[in-house]
Amino acid sequence: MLTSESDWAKYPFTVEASRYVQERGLKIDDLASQMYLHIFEKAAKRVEEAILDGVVHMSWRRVEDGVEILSYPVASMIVMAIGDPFLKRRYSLAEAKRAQRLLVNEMPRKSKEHTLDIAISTFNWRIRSVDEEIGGRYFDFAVSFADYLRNAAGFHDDKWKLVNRVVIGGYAYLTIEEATRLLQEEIRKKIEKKLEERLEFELPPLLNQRVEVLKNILAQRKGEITIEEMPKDFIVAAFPPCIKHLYNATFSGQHIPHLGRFTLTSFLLNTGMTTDEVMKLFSQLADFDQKMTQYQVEHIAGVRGSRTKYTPPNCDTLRTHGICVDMDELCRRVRHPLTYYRRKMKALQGTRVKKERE
Amino acid sequence: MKIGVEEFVRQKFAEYYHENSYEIKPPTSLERREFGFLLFKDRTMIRHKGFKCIEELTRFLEITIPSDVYHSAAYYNRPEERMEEKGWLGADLIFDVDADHIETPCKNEHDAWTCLSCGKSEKGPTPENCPSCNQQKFEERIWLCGDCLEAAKMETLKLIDILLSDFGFSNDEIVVCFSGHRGYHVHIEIEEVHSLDQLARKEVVDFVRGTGLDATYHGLYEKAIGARKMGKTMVGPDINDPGWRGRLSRGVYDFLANATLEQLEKTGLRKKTAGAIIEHRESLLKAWQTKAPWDAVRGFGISAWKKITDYAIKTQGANVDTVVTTDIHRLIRLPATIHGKTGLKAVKISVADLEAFDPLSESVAFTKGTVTINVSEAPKFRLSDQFYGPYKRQKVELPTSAAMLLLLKGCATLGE
Repeated sequence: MLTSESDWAKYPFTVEASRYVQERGLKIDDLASQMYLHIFEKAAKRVEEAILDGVVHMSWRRVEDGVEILSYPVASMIVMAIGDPFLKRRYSLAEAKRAQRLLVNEMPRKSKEHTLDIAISTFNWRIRSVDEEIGGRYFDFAVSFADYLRNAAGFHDDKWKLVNRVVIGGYAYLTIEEATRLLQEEIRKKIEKKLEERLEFELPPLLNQRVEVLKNILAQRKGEITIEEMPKDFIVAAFPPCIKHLYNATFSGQHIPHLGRFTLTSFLLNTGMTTDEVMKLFSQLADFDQKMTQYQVEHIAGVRGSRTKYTPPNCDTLRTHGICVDMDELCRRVRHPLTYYRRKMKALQGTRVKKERE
Repeated sequence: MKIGVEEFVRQKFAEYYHENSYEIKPPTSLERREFGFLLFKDRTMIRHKGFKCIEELTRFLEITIPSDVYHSAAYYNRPEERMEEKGWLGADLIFDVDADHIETPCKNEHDAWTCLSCGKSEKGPTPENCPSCNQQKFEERIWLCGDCLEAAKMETLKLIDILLSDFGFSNDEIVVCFSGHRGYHVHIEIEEVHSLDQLARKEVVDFVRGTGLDATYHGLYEKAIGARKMGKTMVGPDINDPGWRGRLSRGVYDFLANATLEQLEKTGLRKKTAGAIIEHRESLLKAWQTKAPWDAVRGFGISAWKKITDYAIKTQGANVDTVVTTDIHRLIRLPATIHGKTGLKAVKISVADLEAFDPLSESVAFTKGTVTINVSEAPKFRLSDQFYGPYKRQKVELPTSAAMLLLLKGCATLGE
């Protein structure tokens, strides 16, 4: 159990901290009052740091615990009021990172205790503290594989793959750093989910000015984070090896399995090919069925059915299903066939420009 | 299927469902499951059916007489609605081990294919392209055979070992089923697994198969030694280690103990190195039972070992279908119903009984009487303790189960 106000200030997303907040009975209209102004300012700071630095700083020492704790729900309100999806994701991650850093920086015994406390009482993990050396590595925790996977399955580093972990009797073994990293993901998801709730409220007008400032900072920051745009013409030379393989197989009329077809189709549609062009390509197949193919291609393009435009599976999934072939150097640096394509495209265009100059 | 044959087998299925409906047990939370049925007529699939209780389901079977019966591994709020509106609540964790995906030498004996464009016909597994005309449409004859099923059972046992020791499931949490044709299904129905999403299930499949396994995470590495760290020594996992560590070590041991020179070279090792392994095999295997086996082959660095561990991973992992486990809306065969391609029933088996289980006798559903049929062609096969065939263009009187198998496989018609 987290029992002190300073613990709640550090970990304001826990059940214990939110109980404290509830007891305080904070109301939105109070926020503009003189008494709460520094709480509001601290909350705005949380959001600002999230936007600018991607992490909320560990400033809990500098202000009163009470202010710190209450600034957390107020910061959530600010983020909800701004309502920007990018900000919601960025803020959740920034708060989660803050908690992770605080956890590993606690005194060793406290660090383990708090991690265990939070994992069990706030997130209902099946986790136990261990003190074991297995195969030359020292472990602090054993967490049930289901709790592990719910959070780590999305991590990209090979070391997080379940098959590369020590797993015994349903439990994955973790160091304190790994356990807190896993917990960070759980915290992030919890905050993000909370921010998705639809709440009807309006911030007191007096505070609008500060919120406008935050909006400006956000707009500026978003402009800097450039999104890699997809080039318009598709170039086979920039296809990753897996797609090249599927593409050539299709052209030579070979049979490709269902997931292969899905991967190729969604890839081509995402590089700007039209459904008609994709249809033409598939007409080479031995078992080509006009009606069926049209239906499937349009489905993937998002003009039918669920109306979602699909993207190809990521490299991990392609590897699982044996579609990943002939990995090259660039493959090792990307996790998605479309990323490969964009990068390769850039590189190809770069060399072309160079050649023209020569 | 010829009309007369279809009527006949349907009649037999009807009798089975009439007399044996008490054998069909409801899956857990039956009312939350979607059911699907394949019909004899035009091979039509009916999906999105829901039932309130087992009696309602068995009555449906007796009236409809489907050729195959499936239920969803998933639980839904409204199983009868369209997919998007069902309200997914969770799903069992399921695995499919299919002899089709396992290389067995006997496939060259009992499986055969005919190219639909040029008519070329050969024994063995169906190729990707016809070697004579390069087309890809075939008529296949895939037979069910004791050896193939034994190979599938071995994979299932490997899977169960992983589920028990690594995932910590208990014997009674693991439900094994013989599918009635070429493989085994394994279901985990406990609540803990229900909420696993596709990403998590993919990780489970990769774990079971050993996909993406990097031996360095399991203790295989080069350690610098000496005061100036000039020398190097190989460190690796031990045979008795838990999980994949031990599996790696045992897999390498098995490989070194049995590999031929050719197999060793196939892993990408140099001829000289491979030769040295064969020559010093005895002392190498002895070293494996002591404390520092990975250092026993001089000049064998991490990259050489990784070539061998890659091979060990393939033999130690369980060859399960990757698609079935990751599909959270999958339909799977209901135990105690009949497989429409064989006339054998799907049988639930406890983990303890699996090793001794004989699929070709314990799944026999039609135990009464004989039927006279005209067999066009069939390889030698076994059902219960009896061997039959091979047959070629002949009229035979067979026990109903054997006759049903040949009729359903499409290689026989009804005799007078």
